[in-house]
Amino acid sequence: MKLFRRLLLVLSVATAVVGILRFGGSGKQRVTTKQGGWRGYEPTK
Amino acid sequence: MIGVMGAGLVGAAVVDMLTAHGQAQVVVSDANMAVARHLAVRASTKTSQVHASNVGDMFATNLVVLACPAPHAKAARKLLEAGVSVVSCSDDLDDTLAMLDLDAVARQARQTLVVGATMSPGLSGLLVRVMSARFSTVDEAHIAIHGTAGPACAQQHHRALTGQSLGWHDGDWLRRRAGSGRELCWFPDPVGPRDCYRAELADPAVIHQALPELLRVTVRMSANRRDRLTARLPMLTPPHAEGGVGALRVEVRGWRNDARHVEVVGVADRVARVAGKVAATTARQVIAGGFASGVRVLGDDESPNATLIDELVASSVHLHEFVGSVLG
Repeated sequence: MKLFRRLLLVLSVATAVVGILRFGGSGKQRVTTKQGGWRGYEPTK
Repeated sequence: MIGVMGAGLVGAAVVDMLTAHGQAQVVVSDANMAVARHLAVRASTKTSQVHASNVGDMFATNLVVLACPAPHAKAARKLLEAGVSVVSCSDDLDDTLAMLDLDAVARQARQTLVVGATMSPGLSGLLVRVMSARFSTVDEAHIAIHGTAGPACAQQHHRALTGQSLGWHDGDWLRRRAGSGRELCWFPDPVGPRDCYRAELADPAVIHQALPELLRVTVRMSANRRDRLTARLPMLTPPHAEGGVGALRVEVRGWRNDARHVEVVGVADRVARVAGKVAATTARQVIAGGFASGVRVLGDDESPNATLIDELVASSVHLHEFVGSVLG
């Protein structure tokens, strides 16, 4: 039983770590003018 | 009178663009006549009459847009021999190469065959030509695409991840295994970054025809693990009715003011919508006499490239340029 509880604890901690690594800080940040990015393009005449 | 073969997503976009510009008569045919009839009824306006008809009636038109699934080469030859100009939307490599060989047939018939008038190929070559105006000399063009138009296009892209990818490399054709050569390509929003791989697509053949001075031309297509794993199998699930928002990314490298220079221009939009606009704009220019007789591709120095790109921009094809970060 003790082993089973430890296993559950390890699994839950591992899941939490994986979740943080995968989704932590993945919020989309807007690219500012200074950083560059995609702009409208006017073909050269 | 303009004929459109294929009443799928691209064919419908072609018809919509033609009627929006006041084309008086358009004839549509499709393997499924019910679909052609439905499109004809939907697209007809007070000023533009759209008729559903069988394939035989295409020979009575001035120009036919081939927006049906590949192959197009056989139909294009028959139409040219009957004195009808052709605009092809095929993106199949073998089909494109076969059509590029029809120059003598087209010249003899004094008609025009425009090969690859879609988003890719087509708009890709046009953008390379337009972007080259900002360079002293251009020597490399690297194309990446994401997304598909209708189900036929999705199946073509599924097949493109197998076989051999064609690339122009220092004066010679280089064949590499399709599905190899992963590269992370950034497309305009909302598509963003995608892993892209070599694919059996027609862009290098068409762009080399348009700009033979280029030393390197490559094409890559976005794919995920499942796409690559199942590429050699039949499609496991039927393709979507429409692929949704896709994107095209054109990277041109060359020299400007004695320094190496790179520019990246892209489009993110529904693939069928852009392909239809490119094909319809090209068709209108062929009718207006903008193209000489023979086999033509978008971006070659004898095509009305400036007019084409202006009309496309005016018809809400939004071009984006990638601007790097400002240092300091």
